[in-house]
Amino acid sequence: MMKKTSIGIVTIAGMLALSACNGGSNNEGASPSASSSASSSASSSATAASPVSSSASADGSSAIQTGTAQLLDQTNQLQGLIEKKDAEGVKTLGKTINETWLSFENAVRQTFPLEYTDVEKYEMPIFSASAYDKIDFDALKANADGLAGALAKLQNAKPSTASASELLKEAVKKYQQYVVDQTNKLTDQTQAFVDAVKAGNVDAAKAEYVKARVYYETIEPIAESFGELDPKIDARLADVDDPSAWTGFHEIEKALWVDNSLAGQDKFADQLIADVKALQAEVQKLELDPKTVVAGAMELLNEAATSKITGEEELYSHIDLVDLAANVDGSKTVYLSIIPALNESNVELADKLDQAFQEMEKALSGFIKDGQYVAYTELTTDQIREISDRLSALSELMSQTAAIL
Amino acid sequence: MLKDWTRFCDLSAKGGTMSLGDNPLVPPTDTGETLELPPSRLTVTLGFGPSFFIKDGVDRFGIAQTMPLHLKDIPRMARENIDPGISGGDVCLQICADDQQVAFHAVRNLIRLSTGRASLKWMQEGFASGTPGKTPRNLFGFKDGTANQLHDSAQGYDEVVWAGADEPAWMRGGSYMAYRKIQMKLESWDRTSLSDQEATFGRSKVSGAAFGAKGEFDAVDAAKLPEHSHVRLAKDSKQQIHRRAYSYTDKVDPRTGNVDAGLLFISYQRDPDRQFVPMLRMMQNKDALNAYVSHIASAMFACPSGLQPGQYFGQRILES
Repeated sequence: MMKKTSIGIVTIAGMLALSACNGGSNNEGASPSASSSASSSASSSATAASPVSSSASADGSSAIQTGTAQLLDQTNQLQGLIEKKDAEGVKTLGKTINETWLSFENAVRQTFPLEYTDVEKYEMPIFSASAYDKIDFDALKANADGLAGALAKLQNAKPSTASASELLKEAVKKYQQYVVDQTNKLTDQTQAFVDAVKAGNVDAAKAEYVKARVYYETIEPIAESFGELDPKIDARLADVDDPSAWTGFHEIEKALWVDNSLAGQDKFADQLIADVKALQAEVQKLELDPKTVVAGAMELLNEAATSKITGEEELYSHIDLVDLAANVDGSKTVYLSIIPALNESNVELADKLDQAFQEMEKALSGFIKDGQYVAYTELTTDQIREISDRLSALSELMSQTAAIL
Repeated sequence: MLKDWTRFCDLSAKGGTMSLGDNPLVPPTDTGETLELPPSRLTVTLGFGPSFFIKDGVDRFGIAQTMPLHLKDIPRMARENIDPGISGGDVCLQICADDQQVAFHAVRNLIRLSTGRASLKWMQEGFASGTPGKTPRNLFGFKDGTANQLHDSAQGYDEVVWAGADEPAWMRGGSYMAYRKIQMKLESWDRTSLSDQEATFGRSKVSGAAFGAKGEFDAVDAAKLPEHSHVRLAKDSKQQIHRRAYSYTDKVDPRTGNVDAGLLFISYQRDPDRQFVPMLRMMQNKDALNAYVSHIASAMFACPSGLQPGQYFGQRILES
């Protein structure tokens, strides 16, 4: 029937059509990208689009001096407003603070990478809070105080003279501390969750569940490195060979959101806190190396881009965006710690990553309602796609960071 | 992105690949599936859609003044069932090769190179097969593109295919690509008698000769063709277009068990407003083939003329 020797023209066509991404064409110079607008501050030479190299930093360092002083001043104002519990004032100032920081952060990142990370750590939540409809004044106060301290350090900072390997060592140390902190918070928060489960309080348990998940998702790759513990804590029903042996967060998640009953969950709650405490103990002994840290940042984004963006992770509670944001956050922490090393080898990559994280965070903040991420099931396909595209851009860049090793 | 694409296309069409990279800690630059494979006559054709120049009234890239004269989406037609999700787009890439693995390698790496700067809207695979020198057949078993022979000369291409001197500089010598994804109801077609099939087209199935003619390329006397036959209507339009059709096969319709397959109609022309759109409108209203087909996707792109060494795709638009 079929002639095997058809010599004919076998032409195979692939057609594809693409849509240009908004604001993504910054290296074509053709469109004004949706990046930072320089605020009223003195320096406009150090916006995202024009990195100031650390060697020619006469401009840069004066921009840093002026910017830091201005930012410190605004932070002090913020502390006053927090004192007065002025929600509207706090929101407005939060945005101004972010604009000021964006106007000179590139110069800081290149000259004082260690100090940069500290400022960024406190500044970002202050800006994020300005998008929330509910303000957590206690958390905000802690961040404002932290920011004031970080800025004071920045004012007296000296350019680092550490070698590349020292910079990496420092990065690992910093990240390791973060992992320990997150695991401690995870343990505390899981305890609160377990307590609510054992008290049979469905509503309280649901609320505590969401909070606990964040800490797990920020350090997921680290948790996964302890073989048995991750599946016991975080397996989904589809992951397990024997459904009757299923334990962990998602087992209780199903009870809470599907069955709406905590009957028979005590033993799972006890098991969960025991496993999380075992994880905590392992993490204290952890000795990370630079390779693991950098690979972890990539794994976090891959996690977000596979199980979170598809809504598979939180099948019953649909809080996938909470997990996704936590994955991004955990990945950003790695990025922040390796900035000094990135500056040495690839400043341009650091600039692009900075921009990509900003855009990602901005996009995600649009999905916060009443201080919480909206349920995955409320997202339209277009919205999911938007998040996914940003995630792809970010992942593509992050996949290049291992070149610093 | 367009620069990266140009570099990649130049390399791939010669059979090269990007380096796999010498740093094992970062992902390889090239995905690698064409190592040891020949270029397989790989070609990449790029086109720009109307929304590349103006989208929702906004001139995103400051290039609205370089928009080609006839570039607009194909207007609504009778009987069409267009799915906007697989229609249109800012930029189109048509990738052809003799080997599907080579073609897909190009598709995949061009997508990778666009990450963060463009977003994939739709993708469609197709195929065509035939003996060199003979007109290929579509899935209805009829020859498709016989009339291309009518303008097979330098002058013919100038008149039918290449965009004229009244166009923006970058578009002169380029061409408009019209795209319609046309689902064919193969099951009902295959239950139609040979004489009805031939009357639908107005041609002999085996020889490709029009009714009243002997050979495939003999002159067509429209009067001898059934009034609503496909070829009769094409002749009545008094217009020529350059056909480059492919076939596609997708999935099964779970409700009917019918196969989703059909034609990727692609035609190139100098002026779609004059040549293509009126012909399509007439077909949609009168064509006997309509009983067996359904148009499910649609797009129009402006393909610039070929590049000189050192130029990149779209350079003369973006730097004008």
